[in-house]
Amino acid sequence: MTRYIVANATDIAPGERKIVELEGRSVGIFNLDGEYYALLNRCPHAGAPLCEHGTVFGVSSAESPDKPIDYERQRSLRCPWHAWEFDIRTGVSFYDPRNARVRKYEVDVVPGSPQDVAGPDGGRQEGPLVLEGYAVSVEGDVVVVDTSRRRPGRTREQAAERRPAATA
Amino acid sequence: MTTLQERPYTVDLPVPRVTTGIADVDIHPVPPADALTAYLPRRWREIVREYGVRTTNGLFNLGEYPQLYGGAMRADTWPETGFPGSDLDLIRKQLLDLYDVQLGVLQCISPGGQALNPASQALRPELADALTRAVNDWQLEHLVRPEPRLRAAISVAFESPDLATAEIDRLGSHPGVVAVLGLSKTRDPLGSRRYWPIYEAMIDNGLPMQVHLSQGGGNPSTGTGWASYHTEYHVGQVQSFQSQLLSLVLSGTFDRYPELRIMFVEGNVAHFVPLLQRLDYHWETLRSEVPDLQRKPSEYLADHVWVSTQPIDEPDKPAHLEEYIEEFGADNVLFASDYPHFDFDAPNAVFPPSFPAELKDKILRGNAVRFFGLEDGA
Ligand code: FES
Repeated sequence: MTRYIVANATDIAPGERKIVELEGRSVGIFNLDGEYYALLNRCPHAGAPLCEHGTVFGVSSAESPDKPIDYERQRSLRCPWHAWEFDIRTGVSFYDPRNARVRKYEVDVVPGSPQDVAGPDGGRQEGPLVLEGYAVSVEGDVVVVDTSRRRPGRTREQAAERRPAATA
Repeated sequence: MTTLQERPYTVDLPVPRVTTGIADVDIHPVPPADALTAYLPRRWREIVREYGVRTTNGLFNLGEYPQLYGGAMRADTWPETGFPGSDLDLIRKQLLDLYDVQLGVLQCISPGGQALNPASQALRPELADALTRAVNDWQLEHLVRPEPRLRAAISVAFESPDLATAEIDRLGSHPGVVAVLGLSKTRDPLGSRRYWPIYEAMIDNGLPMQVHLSQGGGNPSTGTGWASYHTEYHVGQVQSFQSQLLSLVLSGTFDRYPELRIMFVEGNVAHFVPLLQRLDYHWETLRSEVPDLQRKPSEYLADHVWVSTQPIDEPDKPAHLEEYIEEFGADNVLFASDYPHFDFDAPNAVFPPSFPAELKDKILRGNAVRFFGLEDGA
């Protein structure tokens, strides 16, 4: 597990985003009213800079025609090119959830500590977290992105729930 | 075929070459605010300022269909000031340099907003003439001259062939001009004899025509009326290209003008194939209606009709894209990006990995050489 300090918590105001480079990849970190999300800054469709120029929108849906339309704010990231939309929390496409997915990263906000000095040139520093790649001052809370690919394992029940219901 | 080199040069510009880079046949420049003023005679400048322009749909400040948010522009193409497509440096950075575009063909469709679309000016042809001349002079001076990778498809007052042919003759031999810009929404179908003088002038000047998706023209945006949704318009707009193709073939226009080269721009590829098969099929039994037609309808394609790729067809099975293109005609399909519009296609991303390299090479390079008549210069 490699965790990178990417910013002071105060650097990314609510509604704003920051693009950083981690392990050679461009990653976008969003602050949506105090909740942080991070996605790869590359659209899986044709490679557009998804996080840098994408627009955060709400998502609306209805059960059937003439039924009330539900609206959820700040749920979707819309690609600057062909307008594919992705769930900003999971990176999964609304339009083609099975095939299109943006890589998602775990983000935490944790208290900084004096050992967390990270070099701007990517020098690795040992601290309570493994940190590298970004210069931060360590006064307050810091935003940390985890680049490990491991996902928490699922129970059998959870996995079964995710499968599409059998059509019969 | 007349080639560019046979034309008299009025300006010192090299013949475009497409060797290691690519050709992009659909780039949309927008004149910055007031840029056209200097090119408009005072009379028309004042008319535009004091009375506005005359559109065929009566909607002076509105488009013909609900426009996608952000003006249907690629969200990362807005310069610090002005419209996407108005900043040459950004066009260089995001398109020409990034993808090594050696020939980028300008399609100045709606300079400064849809109200200036020449098709929409049909009801005041003299104004259409003044505006299209201004657009052409502006793009040649401010885009093509400083950046010779860009060349112009010149805009003309399409619904007034006398004015259109005068403009084609005025600029046809300029080396910055590689095509005449046609429109998919015309008042009459393109095979109509009222447009024949335009084709004659093009051929005299050795120029092909790029018929670009357009609004205006005075007819509804679909065969049965106006579209309610952007999606309806965006998908349904190919109807107009289909009608134009049927008209051009059945009217015998290609028999009359054996050198006529027409490209449909931003009208996809795949849907033309079943249309032509059906046309061939019915022509077999109904040919007595058009007995002077010299060839089977689909046989005109190879010599006369080209299409551009964007917006690319994206079948679930990637191999089908290759089939669509082969069925239309591997020598008659060219790459288009449509920069800076939202449905932009990137040349490094549109072709699936399995796409044959030789076919890709034709679409990105070789076919442009033939369409624009660059053989001698390449
Ligand atoms: S590149 Fe993102 S939707 Fe096409």
